Amino acid sequence: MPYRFTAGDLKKIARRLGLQKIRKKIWNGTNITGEFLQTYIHDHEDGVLVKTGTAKRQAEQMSFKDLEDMHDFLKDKKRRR
Amino acid sequence: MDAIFKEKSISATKQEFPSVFRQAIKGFEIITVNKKSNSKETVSIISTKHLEGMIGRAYKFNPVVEADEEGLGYTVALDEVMVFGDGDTLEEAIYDLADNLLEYTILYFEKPDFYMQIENRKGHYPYLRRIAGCTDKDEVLGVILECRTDLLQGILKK
Repeated sequence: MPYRFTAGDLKKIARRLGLQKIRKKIWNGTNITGEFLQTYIHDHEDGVLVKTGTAKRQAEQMSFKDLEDMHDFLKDKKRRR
Repeated sequence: MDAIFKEKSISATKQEFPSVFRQAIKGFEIITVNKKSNSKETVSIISTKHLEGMIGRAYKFNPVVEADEEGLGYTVALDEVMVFGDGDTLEEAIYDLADNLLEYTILYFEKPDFYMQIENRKGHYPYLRRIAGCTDKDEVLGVILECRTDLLQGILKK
């Protein structure tokens, strides 16, 4: 069973990292280590499932090691980056 | 050995601009330097047609198609510029990719000085310059899929 994320999860993760929506689907910003991050998040309803290939790219672009790392970040609300 | 390209000062370039322009059209590259500044930075004046021809031959996209692991659709990515798109069908994913690529191109050329400072994004310039030269979405699709004619044919048939 692959790690599954919803559009709402991705928006939450992006906001926690300090990213903002700056165009229709582009989110970008600088994380606390000063690294510029940019990714694409569909403006779907929050419950819509994100395709696995898309989640992998979003994880890479938000500087996570892999989907597991991004999943841990989502679940651990105290974790900072 | 003498330098192959000779540098011209800004004032000489300004004075001779009609001739500089004609030379550039013929294929010459005119390098301009600010002799009053300590900076050794230069600017090249070359024909747009020549520039677009060079980047068109050298910078091609290799789209990567990935099916969702549970059959929910497709993601198509251009790793050269860190852009992807998705959809329930391959066709939708490719159109989404084209939209995202256009959005990124607009953003990049609004702030080229900013993006050129970011190590993993400065190399996107020539790829996005190709997209910036397109006049409609079909042309963008042609550029994205030029190495994947199978996908392009599939879209054109519809």
